[in-house]
Amino acid sequence: MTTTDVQAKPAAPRPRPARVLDWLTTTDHKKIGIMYIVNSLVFFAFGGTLAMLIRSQLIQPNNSFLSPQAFNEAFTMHGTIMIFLVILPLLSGFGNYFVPLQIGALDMAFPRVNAASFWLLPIGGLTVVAGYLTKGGAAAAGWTNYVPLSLQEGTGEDLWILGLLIVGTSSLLGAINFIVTVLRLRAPGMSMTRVPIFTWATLTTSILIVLAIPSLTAGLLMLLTDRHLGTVFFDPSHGGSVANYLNTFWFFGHPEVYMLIMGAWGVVSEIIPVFSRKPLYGYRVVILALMLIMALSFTVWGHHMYTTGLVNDSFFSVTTELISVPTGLLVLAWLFTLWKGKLRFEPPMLFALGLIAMFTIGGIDGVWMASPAADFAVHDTYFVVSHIHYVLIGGSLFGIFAGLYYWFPKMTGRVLDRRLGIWQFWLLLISFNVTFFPMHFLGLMGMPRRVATYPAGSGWGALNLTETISAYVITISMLVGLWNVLITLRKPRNAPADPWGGNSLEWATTSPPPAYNFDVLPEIRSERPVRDLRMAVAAAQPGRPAGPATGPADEATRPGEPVVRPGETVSAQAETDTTPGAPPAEPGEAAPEAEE
Amino acid sequence: MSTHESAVSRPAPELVDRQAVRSASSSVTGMVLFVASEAVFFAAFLGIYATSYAAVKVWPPAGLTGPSLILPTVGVVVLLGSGAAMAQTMRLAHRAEYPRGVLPWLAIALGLAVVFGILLAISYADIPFGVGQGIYESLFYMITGLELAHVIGGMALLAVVATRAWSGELALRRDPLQSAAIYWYFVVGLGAVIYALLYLGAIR
Repeated sequence: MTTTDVQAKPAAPRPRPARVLDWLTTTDHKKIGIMYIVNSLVFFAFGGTLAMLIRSQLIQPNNSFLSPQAFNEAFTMHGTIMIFLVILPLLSGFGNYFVPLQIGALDMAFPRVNAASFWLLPIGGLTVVAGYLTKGGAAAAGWTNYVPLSLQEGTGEDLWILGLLIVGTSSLLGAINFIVTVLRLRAPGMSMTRVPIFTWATLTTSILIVLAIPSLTAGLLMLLTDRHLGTVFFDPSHGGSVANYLNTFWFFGHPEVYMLIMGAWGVVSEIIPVFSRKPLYGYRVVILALMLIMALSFTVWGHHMYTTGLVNDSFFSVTTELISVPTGLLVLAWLFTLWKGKLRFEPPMLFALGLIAMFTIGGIDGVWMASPAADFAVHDTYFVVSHIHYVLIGGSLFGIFAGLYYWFPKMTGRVLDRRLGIWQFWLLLISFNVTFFPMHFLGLMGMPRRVATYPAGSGWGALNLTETISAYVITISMLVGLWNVLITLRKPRNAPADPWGGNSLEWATTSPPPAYNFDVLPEIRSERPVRDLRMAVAAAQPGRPAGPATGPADEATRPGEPVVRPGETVSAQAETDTTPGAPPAEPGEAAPEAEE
Repeated sequence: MSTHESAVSRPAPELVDRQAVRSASSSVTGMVLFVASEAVFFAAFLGIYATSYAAVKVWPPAGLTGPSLILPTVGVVVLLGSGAAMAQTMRLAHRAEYPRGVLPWLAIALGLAVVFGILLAISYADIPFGVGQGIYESLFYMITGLELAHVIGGMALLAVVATRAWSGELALRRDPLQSAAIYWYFVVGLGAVIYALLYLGAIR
């Protein structure tokens, strides 16, 4: 066969133009995933710079570093970029790379659609940012873009609307692709109750996108026609209503918050079991919690509108409080996974633990504000700014960094530097809290958000000064992370297939994986197929270190105890018997639970 | 569905085959999801219709002269006929004469879609109100305009599957036809809802 000849030859490096063309035209989910991540990180640098400008303006009372117009543009673009062009696409990038790997598929269901959804993203993003080049400047009505202010803005606003329509299309196509991939392309044995939680989270996120993004599209379309074609959807003098915008926007806007966090929860739900050397506590409960949150998130949008008098505050208060129940289940599942685990404090684990702590603070803020009485007091103050940043930095971004440190070896074949990772974590954790925790107090003192400056006698100066200095330290922590990535990319590609002793299928292939991902797939008889494989190898060869790669040796050298979960043994044996080519499984060595 | 030979040979043929077989029905799942998102999209406008309806004492709002009903009524009948022709197409898709056997009914569905599009476009000529006169008027132009855009999209989709059925390309698979049908049923159903709310709903 000619195939053997081809494989025998060492692959000649392709010339640079051809390699660039490979990336520009690729439909490989792994390359597209990396492009998602790189594109998002470029926008992240831009959005982060805007944040530093905002903080610099607020460093002292009556500051004139930024004009009020420039300040409005800065916070509008900062919010828009971070939400639509950084966090959501970063999670999509991980999803692109790892969902097909985790379910044992060769690629996404629609590879060309996948490439299209990626390429729409920089196009939409640049359209939004291009507002800075117009005469009136960029959009300046806040990321929520309320009418009537957004009806009065200049050309930058139109670019903002068009850009978000494009980005929304990108998300929608990507989400349909994820759902079909997870539903249709799972490997044999990979039932929905064996799918890793990150893939589950991507699935629930994608369902949210499919059912929520169209509401934003409708709102943006009405905004565009109200601005240019003379419709009166948002014009009360002709029978329209501002409520029409608020309802369409927030029907999208609150599920959006969960789109931004569920993926990060998924990452953490992968990392905590691996670095605790225990199975995820309540795997099925976690899935149930994700589904409940997904469903409930469509019933809570009115809590953004308590103070407008347009919604039934009690109803939305109850649904919002209700959503904290499944969220609490998630946090408890992580904590019980950690309980009596053999914890390894590698950088991914540190960021995951950081997420648990920080997200819990942000979540409790949310429960507190779900009470209309409390919300009336802190509405549109820095309390809300603090809450959103605890959820989006302390939640989403910590999860994303956890994922970056966890999966970087798989994506590049190189392990990120541990010491720099630990430095980055502690710098970020401390500076993040010093920056955003005092915003609670500023909010309670009544400092309004989205206002360019504050008077000298307000008593807000000291806290703002502290926050701004601390925000610069956040930038330093990001630069530490960037430095880590840059020096690691210069190192040789020597990462083993499974550097952490992982559970899910991405660790069953090389780092980075070959085209089409797998030469052979291990048998899948639990939600932790790679661990099953490692245990089977260790049981077959006592005395040798476990694993296909350098999994932690003590997992294997500890003598196996009898299987704790009888259901799993039965199904494992049943499937082993019916699968040809499986290793012979004795009852004792089918699944020794050395960890428990 | 049986496993068939695939041109891609790397890295493990059985994996590639499995993916190919499963991908065959992925397009139907994808279309169902797309239609679900379309439904939310139109629901946003219908939600505004509902809240505007609830906010006033009389509907249609005072001073509104509704659109003429003759062309739209013919139009909705034509559109429902197109949907019925599509249903007949799908019934024939399981007969021996597939794929060319479905072409006459597919052509009828496509032709009626074109007729509906033309009727809707003509009917704009004698609408007695402008887009900015009130919330009903804005909703009217927005929703019917989007419906027209979706009908044009449907024509393109039906034309593509008709071409592929003609060339015999669909001989081994039905999923493109099925996807087109799902989309078309949605547009037809939407047309009926729009007729009831925007045309019949504007009668005093």
